[in-house]
Amino acid sequence: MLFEVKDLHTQFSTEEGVVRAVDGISFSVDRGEVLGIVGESGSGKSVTSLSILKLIPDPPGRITGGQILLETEAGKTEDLVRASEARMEQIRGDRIAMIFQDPMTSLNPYLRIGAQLAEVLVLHKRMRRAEARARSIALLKEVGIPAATSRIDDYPHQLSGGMRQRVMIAMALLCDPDLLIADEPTTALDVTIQAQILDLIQERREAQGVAVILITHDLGVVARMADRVAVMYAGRIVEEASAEAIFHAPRHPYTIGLKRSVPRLDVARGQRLSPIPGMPPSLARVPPGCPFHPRCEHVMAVCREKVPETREVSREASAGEPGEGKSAAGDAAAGATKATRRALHVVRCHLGDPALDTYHGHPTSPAPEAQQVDQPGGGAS
Amino acid sequence: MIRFVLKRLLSILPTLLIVATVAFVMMRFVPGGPFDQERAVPAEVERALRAKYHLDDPLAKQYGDWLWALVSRGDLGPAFKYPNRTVNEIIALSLPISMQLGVLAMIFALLVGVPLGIVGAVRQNTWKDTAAMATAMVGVSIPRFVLAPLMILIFSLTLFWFPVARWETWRHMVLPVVCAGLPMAAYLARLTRGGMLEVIRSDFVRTARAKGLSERRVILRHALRGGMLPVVSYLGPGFSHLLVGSLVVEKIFNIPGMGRYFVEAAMNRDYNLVLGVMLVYGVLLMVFNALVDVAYAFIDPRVELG
Repeated sequence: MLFEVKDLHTQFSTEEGVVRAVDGISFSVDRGEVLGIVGESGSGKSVTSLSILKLIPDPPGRITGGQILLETEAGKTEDLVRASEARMEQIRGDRIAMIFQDPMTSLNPYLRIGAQLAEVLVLHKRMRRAEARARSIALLKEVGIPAATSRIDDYPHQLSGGMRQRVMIAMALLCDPDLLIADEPTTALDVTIQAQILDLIQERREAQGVAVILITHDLGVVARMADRVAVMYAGRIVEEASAEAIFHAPRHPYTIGLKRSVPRLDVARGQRLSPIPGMPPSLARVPPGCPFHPRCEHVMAVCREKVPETREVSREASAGEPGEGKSAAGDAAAGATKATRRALHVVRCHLGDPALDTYHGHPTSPAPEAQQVDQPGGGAS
Repeated sequence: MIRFVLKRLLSILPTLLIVATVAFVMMRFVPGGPFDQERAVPAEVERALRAKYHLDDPLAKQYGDWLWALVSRGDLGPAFKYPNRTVNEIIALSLPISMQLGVLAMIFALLVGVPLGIVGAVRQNTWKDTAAMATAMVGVSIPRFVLAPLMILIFSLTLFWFPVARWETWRHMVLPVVCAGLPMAAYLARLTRGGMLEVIRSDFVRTARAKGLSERRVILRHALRGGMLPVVSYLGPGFSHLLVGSLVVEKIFNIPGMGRYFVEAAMNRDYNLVLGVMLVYGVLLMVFNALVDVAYAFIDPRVELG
């Protein structure tokens, strides 16, 4: 496995108390794979991405537990949580690169883009300026910047938003990173540009075999890009499965709600969207039990008291051992081969849990079905 | 760029004319004149003096003559209280000294204030930040006429490190320069800290960190330019504060700079000298502001000169 996060905790000390922005999440990505992380604003997606690069401002933030494992050479892994700042500086921009949300503000307005690109190569690859410039121009061409040879001497404000995001992507790919973290890479762009940028990321993934963690609140983006999807809520991953399973057989009521909130073209005119009622909780005051219970339409008594465990709900591939059914997501993912992992579907919900789901009856009770999503008046309050 | 600078410098002229006119008129409306003193001059002597300096001509003619002399010959006229010297001579002697003091004080302010502000921002909410900002607070709050005697008392009269007054060797310059520059240094520290704090939180600085740059390079290469913008825009007005401050400093340290003449001339109703010194100050200030505009465009490529 190229990259693996195990039981990561990131906390912020604020005046309101300790904010558990990332509260024990685990996931992994392999070369050439795209992991989508979705969730509403404030669910901890961006803190996750900043935690991976250890760019959490400290104070007030701090990684308080877990492991961030990066494969260094074949077979060897390194725990970034315990890596020194000097070591992190070697990794950032070289092994793990990042694309940020807003290309309008993420490039330095005071420096020519050529200087901002070349410094990465000078730093990590010890290139001479001329060499770094040539490589920068080559990469600008690869990401589709017309007249790259002259554009490289532009300042960011002379480029359009889409062009700037292309520059950001070029900057991230300069050193052939193993892992690319794209934090809402298309949110600030208009729709036609969005598609181009996503195509570009997809293309680079195929060309360079880079692993991608795609963080977004846009299910459409995830549907288009991701192999696997992790759904975050209140700093936790509440459901993780292949993109297909997330879209066609979501298990967690939150995932179902998210899906239902997306406008669709194939639904009759005049029908209202049914967004999830309420707001995500303040991470300083996460409700006891399952953090989603105040907004959940299937809430049971146990949800208010007990935090649900992560459990596996289905396994379409054959490779799994039968006894492994209830293992935590991290362990299961760690032991699984790529093929089984692809099929792994875990959810963190009492609903449908044979041991706890008294309300919905028998163990194999199907979770709210995907079709239900399309039914008129589908039960939203 | 060159066109902008020329345009900007040319635009100084009309402003200068307005300054000259207003100053001329106001000076003449101030009660008293150059030759009425407590020890009365004999009437015929005063008459002769007034005639010599054309002070009995109609005001408009005096103004016209003065302006013509200035424009055609660059002649600012005679100084009434220094019978052997013209205003031009006085300025030629005192301006370089004032400039030395001003430039040294500004360099001192930049060298002290900017690093202090950077430390404050980078180590925000630590004891270093608190110490830097407390020092700056004191520096901003203490007026120069308090600071100067205190420094003389400590560093000249107790420790004997520096001379008490005059402007001769570098040892003479230390106390006046520090005294003139310290309030500005303090203000610059606060401005730098504020500007840097804003930039440090910005997205592009996060990008720079994500590229793997060391904290030092992030600050110096990526954050500093943006963080310096408020400082640069303050340098214009800051320069005028410095000039005003140097009036006090020159007086206290007995430095034969222009500031001293300015104050004395105003007291003595030495019309020509006041006008001359004021015009020089005006030119300095406006040229400096023009330079600041150019510097601004150099730092921030988004600023269009035009």
